[in-house]
Amino acid sequence: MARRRTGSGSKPGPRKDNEPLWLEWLEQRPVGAIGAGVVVAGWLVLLLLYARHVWSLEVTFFVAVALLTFVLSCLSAYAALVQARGAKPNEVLRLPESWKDFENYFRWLTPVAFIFGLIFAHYFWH
Amino acid sequence: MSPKATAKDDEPLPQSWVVWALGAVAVGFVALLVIAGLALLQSHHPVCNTNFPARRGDYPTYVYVFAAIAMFALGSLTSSAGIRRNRRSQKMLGEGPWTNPTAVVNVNLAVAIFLFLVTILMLIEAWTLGHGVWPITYYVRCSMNAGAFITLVGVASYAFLIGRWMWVFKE
Repeated sequence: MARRRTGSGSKPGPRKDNEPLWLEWLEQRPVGAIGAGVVVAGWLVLLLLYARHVWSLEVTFFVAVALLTFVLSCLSAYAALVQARGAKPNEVLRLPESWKDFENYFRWLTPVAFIFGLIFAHYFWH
Repeated sequence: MSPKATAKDDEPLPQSWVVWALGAVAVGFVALLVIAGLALLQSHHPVCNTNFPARRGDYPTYVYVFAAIAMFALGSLTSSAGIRRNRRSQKMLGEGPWTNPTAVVNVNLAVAIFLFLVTILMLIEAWTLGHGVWPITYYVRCSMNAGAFITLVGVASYAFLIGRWMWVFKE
């Protein structure tokens, strides 16, 4: 029962009768891009809070990581939700066509994030 | 099916000895946790400085950092080696033996739950740092002071699992 699913704002298709309206609405939006925007905007706010000495560097760092993991968690939950309703995995949260050439490099994000996080968090060993 | 895919790719995965080995290791960890818990409960003295746990235990901190990085890479390598040993090509979620919708949903849900737990831990760390309460870091340092080897095993195991589950190369 696979049918259209996007999560990146394209390929609209027929609505299923029992599908919630909010989910239908969400599927027509570039969910991945919105998530990236939320992270970048949040980090800018955190940078401002740090620059104004509202939060220390340690607190700002851990809140920044928390924001990133929270958004990624929401995206993963969104993918599970739409896949549970019949979407194929490669139809959810697709990369834009112009980014396809860089897809092979993205597989390095996990180790880079792990090693960078380990070494940088180690800086806060106090 | 891609040109590199083999006929075996669409067959169900065979029962692997790795599952049993990981199960045995998990049981070992539970036993280790029970031993450590009992030792803590029966201890009449604090196992570390309760005001400010020392930064260094029996091993320098870089040992933990590099052990974690090495085990992370090893976890990824053992995962890829298993795929090659079974003469299969690496498939994305939703392809080959991973087409079962329940499996796809479960994997994404598991990742969501894992990341949500990490989020909570990061927020706890940030809140405690901002309020002068022991942050998670201090508990780790205390653990390192109390039992350096057990802590190293814990760090290495966690990194191995993360590398095995979350860094799978697609050829």
